[in-house]
Amino acid sequence: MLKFLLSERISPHVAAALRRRARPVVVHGMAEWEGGNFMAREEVACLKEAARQRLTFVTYDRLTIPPLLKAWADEECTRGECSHGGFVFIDEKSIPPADAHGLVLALARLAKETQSWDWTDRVCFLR
Amino acid sequence: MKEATSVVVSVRLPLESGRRLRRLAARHGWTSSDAGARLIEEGLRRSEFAFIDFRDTPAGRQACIQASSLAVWEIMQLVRGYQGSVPAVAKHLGWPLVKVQAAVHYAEAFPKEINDAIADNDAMDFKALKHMLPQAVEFVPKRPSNR
Repeated sequence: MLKFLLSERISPHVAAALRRRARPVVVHGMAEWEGGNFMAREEVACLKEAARQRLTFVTYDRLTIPPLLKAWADEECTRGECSHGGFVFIDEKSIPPADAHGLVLALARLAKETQSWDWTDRVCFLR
Repeated sequence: MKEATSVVVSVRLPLESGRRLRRLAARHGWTSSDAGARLIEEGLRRSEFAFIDFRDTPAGRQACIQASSLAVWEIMQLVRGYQGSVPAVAKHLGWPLVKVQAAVHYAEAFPKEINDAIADNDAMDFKALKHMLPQAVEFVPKRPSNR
């Protein structure tokens, strides 16, 4: 089953609306996930825990996360340690963060249309 | 005569601090002098700007907001998305207004740093993303006809 972890940049209202609209998809907002313990920690710690829990991370950050995933693939795949629960990168030109309704619809559609996917190591560019 | 843009300051460090500084510098591919200068600059900015912290990221050290996972450039991208409305961004994030204002003030003081980060993020379109992560697929959800 798809389990989303939404980046802190995504409004908590999106998480709440998505829970209502896209059952049975599990949706965590960053602020509440793990009691907010990963809010002030370095990105790599957060993403490794998300990967361990097989969460699909949803983010607008295409500056820091893709290089991190590439580094995981380059350095750790050879040891079989790079597996993750998937990443969804959102294009803010197509779906601005301020358009909460549009983002909820897009993520609900993504969840519905990809319900048969195994999200392991998937990377999706949502626009 | 052209004015100097840097000044040499001699600092005496405890032995262990010197070792830690060298280790940090090696981790980032900096000289010990670079690492010391960067840490001093970050310390000055921390003391001068409310709620600002610095973190290592794969894109280098970034100014962030304390107790948050967000970098200043990410908050400024939101501010732009809300046409400069700080209250709208505070409401979006569920944050007190003052934390968003802190990010705005930092961005005003260091506009190049923030604008460069936003431009680099924008440059990572689907084509660039799939070059870096070959398994990437583009997904355009079917829009409901009444939208």
